[in-house]
Amino acid sequence: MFVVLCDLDDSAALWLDARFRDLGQSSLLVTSGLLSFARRRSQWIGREGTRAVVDLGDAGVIDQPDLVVNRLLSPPVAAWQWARPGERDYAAAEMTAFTLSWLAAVPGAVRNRPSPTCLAGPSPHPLRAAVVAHRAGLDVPDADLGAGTSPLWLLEAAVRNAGQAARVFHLVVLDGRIVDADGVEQRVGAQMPEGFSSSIARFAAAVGAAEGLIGIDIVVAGSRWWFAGMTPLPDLMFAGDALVQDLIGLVEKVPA
Amino acid sequence: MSVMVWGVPTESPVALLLEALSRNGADPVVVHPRQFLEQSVDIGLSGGELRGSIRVQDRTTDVGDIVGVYVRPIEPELVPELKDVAADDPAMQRARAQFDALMAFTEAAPDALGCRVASRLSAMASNMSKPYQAQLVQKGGFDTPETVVTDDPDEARAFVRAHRGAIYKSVSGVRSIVSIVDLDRDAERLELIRWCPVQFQENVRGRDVRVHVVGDEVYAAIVDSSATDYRYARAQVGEDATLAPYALPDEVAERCVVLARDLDLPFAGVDLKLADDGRIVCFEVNPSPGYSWYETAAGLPISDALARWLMRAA
Repeated sequence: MFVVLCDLDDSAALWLDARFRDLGQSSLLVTSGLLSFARRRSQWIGREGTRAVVDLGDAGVIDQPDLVVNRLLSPPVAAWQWARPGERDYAAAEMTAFTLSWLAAVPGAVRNRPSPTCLAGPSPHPLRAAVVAHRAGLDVPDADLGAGTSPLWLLEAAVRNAGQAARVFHLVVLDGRIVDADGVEQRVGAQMPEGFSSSIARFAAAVGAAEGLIGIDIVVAGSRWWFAGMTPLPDLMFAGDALVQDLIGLVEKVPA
Repeated sequence: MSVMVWGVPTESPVALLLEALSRNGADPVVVHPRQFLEQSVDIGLSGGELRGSIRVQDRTTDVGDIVGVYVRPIEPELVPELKDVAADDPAMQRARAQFDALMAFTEAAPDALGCRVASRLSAMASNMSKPYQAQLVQKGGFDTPETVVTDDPDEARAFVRAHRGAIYKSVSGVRSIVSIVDLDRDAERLELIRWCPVQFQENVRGRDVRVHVVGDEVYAAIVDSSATDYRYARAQVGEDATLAPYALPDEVAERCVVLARDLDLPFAGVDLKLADDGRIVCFEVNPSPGYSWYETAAGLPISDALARWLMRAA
């Protein structure tokens, strides 16, 4: 069984779930809201290892999924939305903690495992990501990080650095590899700079996404491709069915 | 070369560290969360390298000169001067921007500058989920208590009976007080867990040991108390716990050092129990230990070790 975990407004996740079904896979779309009203949630941790059951009632039971595509940003706390603020905050902390532990150990191929700072996966601080990208061999724009800086400060800086010819692209990177690299070059209308793919792989490994599904924003101007940010929530539709096939292929790699 | 301390100077762990830095000849840059009006942080990227400066009153320090940072801040919303101040108030915005910039600096500095940071806030986050951290602790070669996190009262009862008693505590770091489960007394309350999973653990009996890891060094204290949670011994059993230095076996000390390193926590408090059945069980790793009690009551020179670690340029 495939599981696509997401927030309610995640259209890329809805698209992916639909494509899995179109291709004959048994796919279960689980929103944060559905998870919040689970019939039963249990996780055991001990000398015999870690196992868990999440019983979603009529929707199904998650215990031994083959593939989990995790795009969960928010903890499953819809059931607590009318509680007093203090109780709601406590429940949010508890549900975040449970979800983090559950997804860290759920069996099967999981993209992404959560990180303590983001349920959806690796999420280094943007400044650290930029430093790591530079160390990995990617071009990184000059940028100031001052008061009132936009959340898209690196993207904006990359566009400024690139000048009037700047164009913005989004790469979907699975396990350190750019998905549909040929399609990316066609959209850009130019070949990737020499060593670019290797730099992306080094970057993914350095931020904990050697086994991960991430998105990388790139600003292209002439022959230069600037790193402009990363996200654990890539826009999946950019990679299309090439990504869907790659994700299905992960299941075959998981040892029985 | 400078050491930066980001925290409230009068808070005891910070105060002890500042004294130790002074004893070791350092003149640290102290970034006080409550004095955000007298401070500024200016950082950015140039040629892919981290650059910028931190100004505290009349003293300006280039970030490239900072070799070590101790991180123990408080969020702007918890600063007394900003209590009940709206998020869009200029003072709150200034404090928030300063906090965010300092967080950015401490997150990036180890990779960018080889700077020692104890510890990155992102690394501290592993402690926000105790069962998640338990999985990492197991990978580090320690036993952890048999645990179930559940919202099923029947499952909880079965676990308690199977282990002939159990304790319960929060799953996150919030309201984290250890209490004994009493299935008769707690029968009605147990039904409430249907709303939110609760963590139940076997009640491991034995002596508590707190191990402070500072880089490659360890400083351990053994606890004497009959309380379920020795930190709250006075409330639970009417008298405070007492502490004494403890000579940790080398192999266990090494495992603690490696575990802290794997968690990216160069300064950490590892909570162990020397179980009556011979196991050494690890309960959790505190990512920002409030070590003052262990230093003063057990005579462990933790602040000196931390000062030396921060001053040693990587």
